Amino acid sequence: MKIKEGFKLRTVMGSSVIIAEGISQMNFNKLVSLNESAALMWRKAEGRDFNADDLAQALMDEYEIDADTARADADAVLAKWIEIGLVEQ
Amino acid sequence: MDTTMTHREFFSVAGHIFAVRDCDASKVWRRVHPAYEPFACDDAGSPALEVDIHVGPIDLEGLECMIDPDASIDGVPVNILPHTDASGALVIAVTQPGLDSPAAMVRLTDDFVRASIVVDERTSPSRPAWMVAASFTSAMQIAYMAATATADTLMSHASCVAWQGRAYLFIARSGTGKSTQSRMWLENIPGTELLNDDHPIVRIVDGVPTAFGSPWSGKTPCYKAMQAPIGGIARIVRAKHNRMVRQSPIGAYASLTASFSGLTFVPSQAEGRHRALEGLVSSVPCYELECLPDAEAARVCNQVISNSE
Repeated sequence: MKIKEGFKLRTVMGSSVIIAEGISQMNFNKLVSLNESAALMWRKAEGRDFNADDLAQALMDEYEIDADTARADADAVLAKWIEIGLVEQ
Repeated sequence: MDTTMTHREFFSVAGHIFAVRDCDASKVWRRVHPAYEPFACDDAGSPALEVDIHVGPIDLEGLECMIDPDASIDGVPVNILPHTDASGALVIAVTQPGLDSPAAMVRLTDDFVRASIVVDERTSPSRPAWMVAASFTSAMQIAYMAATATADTLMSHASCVAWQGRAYLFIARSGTGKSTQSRMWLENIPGTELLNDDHPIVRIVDGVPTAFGSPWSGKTPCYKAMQAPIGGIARIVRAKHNRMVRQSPIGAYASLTASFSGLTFVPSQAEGRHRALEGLVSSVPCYELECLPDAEAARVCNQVISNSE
C-alpha cells in the first residue's frame, strides 16, 4: 500500500503531525498527531509502496524490540491510518 | 497609446507593495477602488506583485481543472477552481454560489510575482454586480496571498479588533459569529476599534506576529492601513454558556489551518504557510471561546485574553 497523495508530515513546535495539503485532500479537515514511533514509520512509508513488515522493520532498526512486538505495533498504527483514510491499498 | 494602458497604481498592504494596471478601464475595479485607496502609496521600483486587470469573457477552454468542478467542502460548493494551462501555469477561476459561470479568473506566473486577472463584467438579474465584484475581489486576494506566502505572511479569514495597542483575531466557521464577537467588543469594551472584519493580513515582523488592515473586509467597509501586534486569537464556537479555553500548540495549529487560506497544493506555498503558522502558534496565545452572542462573552474573552501574556 501507499500513503495517499496530499498528506504531509510536518513538525509543529517539536511534535509530528500529518496535515492535508494536496488538492485531492481538500475535504480532509483533520490534523493527525503522530508519536515518535508512528512518525518513524511514516517516514519509512513516504513516497513508496510499503506493507506492515516494512514498518515493523523500521521499528526494529530504531528500537530494541522483538519482531512480534514490532509487528503488533506496526499493525495497530497501520489499521489506524487506513481507518482515517491516510493510506490506500 | 491609451494612457490607461501604462498607468500603474501602487498599494501597500502589510508592508507588501503591489502595482495594479487597469488595462481595460474596468467598471468593477472602479467600483471596489475606494477599498484600496487608504493603502495607496508612491511608485515602487520593484513591487512584490504586479497585477493586470482585463475585462472580457472567462475562457476556460483548453485548461485542465485540478479538482472536480462540482466539488464541495462540508456541503458548500467550492468557488475557487484551480486549473492548469498547457504550459503548466496556474489559472484560478472564481465563481460565487448561484452564479452559472465564473465571473473572474487569475493567471499566476511560476514565481507568483505577476498576476493577470480577467473579469467578466456582464450583469443580469441572476448575475448581480456585487457578485461579479466579489469574484474579482477573491481573484485579487489570491494574487496577493500567493505573492506573499513565502514572506511570513498569511491571509486570514477573521474579524479583528484593536484594543490597548494589541490586535485580537476572532476566527470561526462562516456564520458562527466572528463579526458578532467584534461588535460585542466595540459595544462593551471601551477603547476597542475594528481593524478589519473579514480578511486582516497576519505577518510575522521581526519575530512579532502582527495584524494589518487590508482592502478586503467582507460586507463591512473597514479598510484601514493600520497594524498592531497580535495579543491573542480566539476560535468562536456557539454554546449555551461563555467559557474560554486555551488551546495546545497542536490544537491551535489545527484550528488556524482552517482559517488561514493558502495554495497549499503548491509545495513552496505550503512551506511558507506552515512556517508562518508555526511562528504564530509559538508566540500568540490561542483559545477556543465557547459563547453566546452576548456582551458577557466579550467581557469573558477580553478578560482572559488580555491576562494571558
